[in-house]
Amino acid sequence: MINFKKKDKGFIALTSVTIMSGFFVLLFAGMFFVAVEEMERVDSREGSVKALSLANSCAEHALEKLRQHVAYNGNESKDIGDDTCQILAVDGTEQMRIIKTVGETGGHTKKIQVEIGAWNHPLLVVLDWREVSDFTSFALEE
Amino acid sequence: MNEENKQGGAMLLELILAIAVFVIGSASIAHLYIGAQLSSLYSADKTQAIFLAKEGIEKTRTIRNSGFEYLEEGVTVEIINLDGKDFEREVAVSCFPDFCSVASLVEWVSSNREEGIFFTEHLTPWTGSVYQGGEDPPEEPVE
Repeated sequence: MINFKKKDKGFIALTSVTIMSGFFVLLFAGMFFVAVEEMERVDSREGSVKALSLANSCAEHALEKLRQHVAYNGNESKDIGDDTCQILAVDGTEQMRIIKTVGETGGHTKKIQVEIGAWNHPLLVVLDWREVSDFTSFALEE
Repeated sequence: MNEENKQGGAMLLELILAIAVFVIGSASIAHLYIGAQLSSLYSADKTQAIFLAKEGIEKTRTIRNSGFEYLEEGVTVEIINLDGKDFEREVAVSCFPDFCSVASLVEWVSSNREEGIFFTEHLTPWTGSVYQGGEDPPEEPVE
């Protein structure tokens, strides 16, 4: 009986160490991948903020154009740094306008919708300025 | 005697293998642990830098909201210390006839490597007012 235990000592040590090592390697590999995933999420957040800045910039340009010309109807692109943003067609009536802009960079797309209410030209009254997942049609809201 | 020697040899071989597995396992664990820690630190710093860069643009927007004429061309450099870490923020404003371009750059050192993020936004003099909500609607247009 004692001889049997002696014979297996090395095997038990090898098995224990292998199992323990495997367990800890798996545990820390999990930790590592969670950290890498977080890093990718932060990089993606940077892209999102850049896209949002682009969309905001286009909204600023559209507001300025609208302030200068009541009849401004959008449909143009603007160069912001190395990227470009788009001002879509301006929707609405004489009393209300909806500006829609899109910022796109590195696979990230952000959309901004700005609602301008009754205005005392050239003073614009912004009723709403928000990021949307999809643009709502002015006609549908009416 | 020969049988005993064989068993002793096998046990020694198994022990050596166990030590080798332990050493390789420990090295892998250390590598993964350090990698995870560095990635976490980088993520935390970059998140902070994103907020700081965005804040640089928002600060400029607030000045513009007081009046487009208050926007001044130039570069503002600040060192911001957050939790013992230094972030350098450089906000550059360059103006053109109908807009000002605001570039916010934040740099920091992460694991002995210089890192940086950069956002650009345009601000225009549309100088409108923003309806804050509530029961009273904005004024009717004056014909």
